Amino acid sequence: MNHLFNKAIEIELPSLWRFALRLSKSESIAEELVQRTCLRAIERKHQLKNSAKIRSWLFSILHSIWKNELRSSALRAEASLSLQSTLPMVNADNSEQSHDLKQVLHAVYSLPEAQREVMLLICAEGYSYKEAAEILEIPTGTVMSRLARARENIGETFSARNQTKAKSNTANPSRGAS
Amino acid sequence: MKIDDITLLNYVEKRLSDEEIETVRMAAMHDDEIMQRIKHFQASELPFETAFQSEILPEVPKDLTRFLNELEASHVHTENTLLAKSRGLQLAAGIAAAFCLGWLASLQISPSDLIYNSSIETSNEANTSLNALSAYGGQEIIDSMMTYQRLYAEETIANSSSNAQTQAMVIARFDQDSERTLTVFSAPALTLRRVQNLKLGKKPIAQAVYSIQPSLNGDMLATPIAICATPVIEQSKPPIEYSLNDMNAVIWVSDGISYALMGKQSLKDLDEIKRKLTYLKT
Repeated sequence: MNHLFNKAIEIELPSLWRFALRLSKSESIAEELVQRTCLRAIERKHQLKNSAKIRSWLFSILHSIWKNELRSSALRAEASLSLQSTLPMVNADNSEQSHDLKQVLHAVYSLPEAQREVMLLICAEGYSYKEAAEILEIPTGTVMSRLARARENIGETFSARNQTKAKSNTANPSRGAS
Repeated sequence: MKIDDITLLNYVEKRLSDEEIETVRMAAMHDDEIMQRIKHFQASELPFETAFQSEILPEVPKDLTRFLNELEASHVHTENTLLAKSRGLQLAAGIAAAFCLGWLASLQISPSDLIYNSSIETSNEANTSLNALSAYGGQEIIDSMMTYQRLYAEETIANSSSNAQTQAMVIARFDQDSERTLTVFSAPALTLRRVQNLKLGKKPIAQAVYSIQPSLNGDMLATPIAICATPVIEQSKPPIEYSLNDMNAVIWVSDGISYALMGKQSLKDLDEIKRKLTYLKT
């Protein structure tokens, strides 16, 4: 049983790492976050009622540690090294697609944290509204509302960007055609 | 029907009934703001999943994988030890998690302040007996502390920062639970990084973690050390040395509290550090 439990944590390590990185925007803090999550999970493994839900259970622990223990120090660190100030790196087929995907990620990472974490769970990790609500320990309606506000914010950003782009293309048609 | 942000998102994503769609359309025709918001939601129909899947992130650090493996091994070891001894202590992961909670204070002193002066009573020569340890808090507690302290790397506490308020709370809680007066120590070349309350069964424990200047470490790797305190019956006992796997400890009793200074065996100067400890706060 112990072996299976530990193996399950090991399997989820990459997704925990990914989520921690995206939450904290810091490798060192993400590492600390995942370490604490593993420790806490082993401490509380008797609380895991449904082994099929170990992934969301681990995410819930991670988010709780982030919110209650590490977030404040991460915010301080962010002041000196912020991912928001740089565009994320992506693997893409061509430079245009790469640019577009970076803009999408940048828009998500620029959201207020409450909206960003909902986007991460639903769009990046594929959780349902209900699962995201359980992980974040908030009502499902709040998840839906935060997601809607996140989407509206992102849409507003892209609307403004598209308008600027359209004006630029009108002023310089050759650039728009390229 | 209330037209809120969720409704508008569902409208754009075609998750409304025909009747609801018509209601939103009518509202948008008569309200520019709703129309504008719909445009925003439409502009937000972006390839989020693809973007996240294509994002290049740093790989899982090898240290993290190693940490997990060590954690598993330590946990199994601790559980087995407890089972063998048929003790009812709830240790293990309870401590493990608590070991990572944080606080700090910071004090730096020159390593040149470290002067060797032999005064520790070495009541063991490799192995301190079980009986001897019982007066110092008991082998189970000390083993558990050392087992988990060995998981600590400098990175574990790299982001800890000083918090005098947390420190005061930790001390107050320990004092209340133990009916003793806890001492927090400082020492040359050490930086106090984290203090926290732990519990083994009903036994209150306070743990202080320090980062140590690499020059004091035999293998030149900066590994943290810790002082773990727990109440005992004895009022005073001289320092003894104890070893477990690759960890060493110097343990003494003062004012009814057993203090165990512990670090990896590669750290050559544990006993010297013990002798240079001074009271930071009581």
